[in-house]
Amino acid sequence: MTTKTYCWALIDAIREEMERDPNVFLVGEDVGAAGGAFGGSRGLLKAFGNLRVRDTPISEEVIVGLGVGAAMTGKRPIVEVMFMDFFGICLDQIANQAAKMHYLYNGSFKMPMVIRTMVAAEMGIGPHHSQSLEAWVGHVPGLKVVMPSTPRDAKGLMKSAIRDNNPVIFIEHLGLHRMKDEIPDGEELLIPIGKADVKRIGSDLTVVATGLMVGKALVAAEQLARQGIEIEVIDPRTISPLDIDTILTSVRKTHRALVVSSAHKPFGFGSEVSAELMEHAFFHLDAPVGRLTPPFTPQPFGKGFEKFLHPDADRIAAKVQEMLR
Amino acid sequence: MIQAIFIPKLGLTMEDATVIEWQASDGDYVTKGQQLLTIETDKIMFDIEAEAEGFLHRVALPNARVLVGELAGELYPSKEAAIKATRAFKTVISDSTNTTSSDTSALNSPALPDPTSSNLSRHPAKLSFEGNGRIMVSPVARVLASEKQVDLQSVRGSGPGGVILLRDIEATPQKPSPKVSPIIVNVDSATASTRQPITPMRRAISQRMMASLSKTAQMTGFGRIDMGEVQILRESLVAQEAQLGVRITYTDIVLKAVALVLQDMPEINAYIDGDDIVILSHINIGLAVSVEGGLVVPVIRHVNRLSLVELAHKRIELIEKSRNNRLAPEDVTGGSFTLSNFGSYGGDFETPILNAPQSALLGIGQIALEPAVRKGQVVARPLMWISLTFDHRLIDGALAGRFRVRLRELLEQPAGMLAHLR
Amino acid sequence: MASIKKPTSDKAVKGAQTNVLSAEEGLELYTRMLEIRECEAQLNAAFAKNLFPGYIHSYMGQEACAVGVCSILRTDDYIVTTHRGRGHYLAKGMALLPMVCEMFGKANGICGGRGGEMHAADPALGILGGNGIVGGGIPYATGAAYSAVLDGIDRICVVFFGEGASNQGSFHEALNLASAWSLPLVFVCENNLYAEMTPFKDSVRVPDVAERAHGYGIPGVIADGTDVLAVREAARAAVSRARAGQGPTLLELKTYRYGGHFQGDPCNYRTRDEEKEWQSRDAIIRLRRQMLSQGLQNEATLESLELRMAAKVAEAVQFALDSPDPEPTSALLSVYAD
Repeated sequence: MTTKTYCWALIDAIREEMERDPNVFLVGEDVGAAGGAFGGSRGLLKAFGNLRVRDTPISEEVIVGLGVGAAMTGKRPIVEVMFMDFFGICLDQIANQAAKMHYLYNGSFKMPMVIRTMVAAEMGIGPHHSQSLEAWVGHVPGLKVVMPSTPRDAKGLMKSAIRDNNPVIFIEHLGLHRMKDEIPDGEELLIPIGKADVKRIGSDLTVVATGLMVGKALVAAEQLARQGIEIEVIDPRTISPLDIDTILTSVRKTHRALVVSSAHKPFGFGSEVSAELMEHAFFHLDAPVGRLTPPFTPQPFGKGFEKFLHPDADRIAAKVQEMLR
Repeated sequence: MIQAIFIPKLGLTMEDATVIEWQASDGDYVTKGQQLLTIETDKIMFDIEAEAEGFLHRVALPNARVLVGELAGELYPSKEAAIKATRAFKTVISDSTNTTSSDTSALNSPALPDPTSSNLSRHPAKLSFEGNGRIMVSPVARVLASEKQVDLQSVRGSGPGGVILLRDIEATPQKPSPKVSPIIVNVDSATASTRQPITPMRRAISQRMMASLSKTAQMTGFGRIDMGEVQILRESLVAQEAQLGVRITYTDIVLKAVALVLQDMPEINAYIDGDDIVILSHINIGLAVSVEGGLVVPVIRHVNRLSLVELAHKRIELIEKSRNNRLAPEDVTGGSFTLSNFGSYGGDFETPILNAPQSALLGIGQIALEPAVRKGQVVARPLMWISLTFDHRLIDGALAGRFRVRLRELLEQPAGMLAHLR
Repeated sequence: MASIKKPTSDKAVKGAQTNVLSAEEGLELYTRMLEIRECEAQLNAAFAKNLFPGYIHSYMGQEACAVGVCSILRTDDYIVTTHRGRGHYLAKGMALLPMVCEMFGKANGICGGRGGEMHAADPALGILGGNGIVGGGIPYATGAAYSAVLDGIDRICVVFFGEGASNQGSFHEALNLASAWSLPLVFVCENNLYAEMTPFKDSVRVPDVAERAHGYGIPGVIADGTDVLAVREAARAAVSRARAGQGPTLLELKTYRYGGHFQGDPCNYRTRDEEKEWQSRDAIIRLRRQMLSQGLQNEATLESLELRMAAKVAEAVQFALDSPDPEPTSALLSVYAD
């Protein structure tokens, strides 16, 4: 076992896959010489040279497009879109091109591509650098979307994403970059896409949390445990395809569910989970499925606003208590 | 003038750093641009330079964790001042392990209002449970209530707005509290008794029976009918089953005969309603059908207007619906008379209980070969008991007797039925 | 309406030998253009008879562009095209039958009927599909080119697009990246003067797309898109550059589409005179005339070829019409690769 941060776990994953398969390469803004705008690709340029690790101009559409064309012609690209907020610039290449290539051409092309991006919610950067947009891409058939919350999950999912023959949107959270975790040595860490993880076992209520919210839910769990309330915390890890079975099994036991997310409530991830529970676990519910998210506003600049707008462990605990009334 | 040396912010995510080493000591004179100390963030090593000249007083100690913006040291205008300066402080940074939320720190910030509370949010949360007279119960509670046969009307909901939740049903005892003292079981008994809750159907039947017996003056009169001619008639009809499209049974023939009798004796096709006697114009006969767990009585309407074939079809249809639990409300209401076939389970004569609010009920037994006297001789004849229960408040014994006689006439000489058939 | 600017000889590629031609080459080029022309004519007719599903975007009039460029490509070179891609599919060697079946959305179409007119592909021939998004193919053409760079071989990619796409951001991003990285990518702009139904000149300050190349530091070349040999020579130069690692070229072919943006478009935005003028310079007719006048082929051969081509295409169209529709449940397959 070695202690690694989330950021380094990701670098390790990419490095290992690039060593294993010469077709894997990485392009994006500042990924090469600078080692990543947030240090997310340190050491890779040195290890693999500037054909396989290459800095691009600020051109999100062609960055993703480059990945699409390379994936169609035998390569396994990792392309970086620095902030998920920038998806609006390249959504055509993601949703109309990458997502549909395999389907449209009846399986003639595989699209083994990873689009690596970052959610910077609660990092105090402002409205164009803080959105969690997994709902945009979760809504497109042909894409897979993952959102790891721990270094271990990040590493295992990145390796799986690179090996997957489909376009995978890999959503990191900037606020998790310094989180530390024990990573096993020796054996290859591969976490399957489409499999949720029960991060904490409980019996009174199921909390489904993603990204930055997983840690907060676990803190809330400790607070609640001191009051005799044991919540079960499920981290879906993959947004799409969603492992609804794990969540259903949990709710059949606890009869109550709360989805906690950095994304907005309307049309968001919580809505999807809630609808699935409604359809498949209606007769097991003792209360309506709750959703705890920031309110429906753009994210104004500054930590003060963020602290007010975003759920924290206290609010999660309070919401759980309210739902158990 | 004292020049402060702060820990700079070197990247967006930088929050703290570790002091690796100082390149100058307390009291040293340093020039502008001279390297003072090296710090390490989680990403890089960085050298902090002096921004002015002066005499150094070190504040941050080697290996200390310092926050961004924290004071690392000071530059004094004189060596004495620098050495004299005694500013001790401790770095108070708890080493966070796996949690990332800064909300767990010991910093005491005033509690912020919840942004999604109704008076702040543009979309106030709607009250989930709005009664308006319905029983509000959660899905899982409803399922358990059904399994435990808990009457939701009797449960008090403990959820928000009075909604009945799972815990409320779980807390409800399975059986109602007994009003009689419990039966004492002989513990030495070789066989163990069993106990199971009463089903809704059984409860309904028992309530109906008790009500019928307690509200009417029931008695039963018996008779015997020679079914020989009916048997011949039936055989002939069964032989024509293909053309008729249905198999006619004894029940159909008896139903038809009963309908003919009721046409002539409308006082039996009647009931008491308060202070009135209602004589019904329609002859709707209920057929007692045994189903799993109990009894249902579907009604064949206007038996007097149906042919034997039509009767048979209707009978088959209703029995099928009964067995598959698909009877509609209109299938079990509106009866004016009831027929019960004891013969189907080998019975002969019984005292059936009236199907309130009807005033009469006919039970027929099995048809069995028995010794009878015909023309002075003892012969074997297919005989069938009939048991007519009637409400003596409305129907006297003589009238009931006349019903039995008339029925016997029709059944023993079925050609007579033909004469009255429309 | 102002008259359009005709391509003048001083804008033609320097040193182009538009008259040098062998009999075999001439026949090959002619056959390929004829196949496209016949296909367009018969598919348009099918459309008019309400037999063709969806839109039809006719390539008629632009055959020389596709054929001229593709005639000098290798099988393993890649092409990326547009919603008006039939000419490119055929020019790059896609088999006629499966292509026509795909046009009609049939189960035995090259994409199982899923793509239809705007989306046909054949990886073995390097055909990387068309696109329903104007300019949607240009970004990913850079990726196809970059694969060759990673492989260290001299394979190239050609991306076709119309002048309308040259105003999309994707075009500029791709041009910039390809130029900065010297990608083996040839940008072929078929300027048929009308982007959908708007005259190009109303959408730009500079009517020549090739001028934009200067901003990216690469050659911008204009050629007469109605002269298949001129196209070929210009393409040859651009392809050689790319193979030699010298980076992209922006090749603008001035051409004209005979039909509207899509069939059924009444073309009220251009004059009948303009249309007639361009049709008088028809590439196929001109090549035919040239081959005859140079004694490279005789009338009988060409007539026989034309008849056989018409019959071949007619047979393909009938075959497609008689082919089964895809099983509706097949729509549920292949959303994800294994």
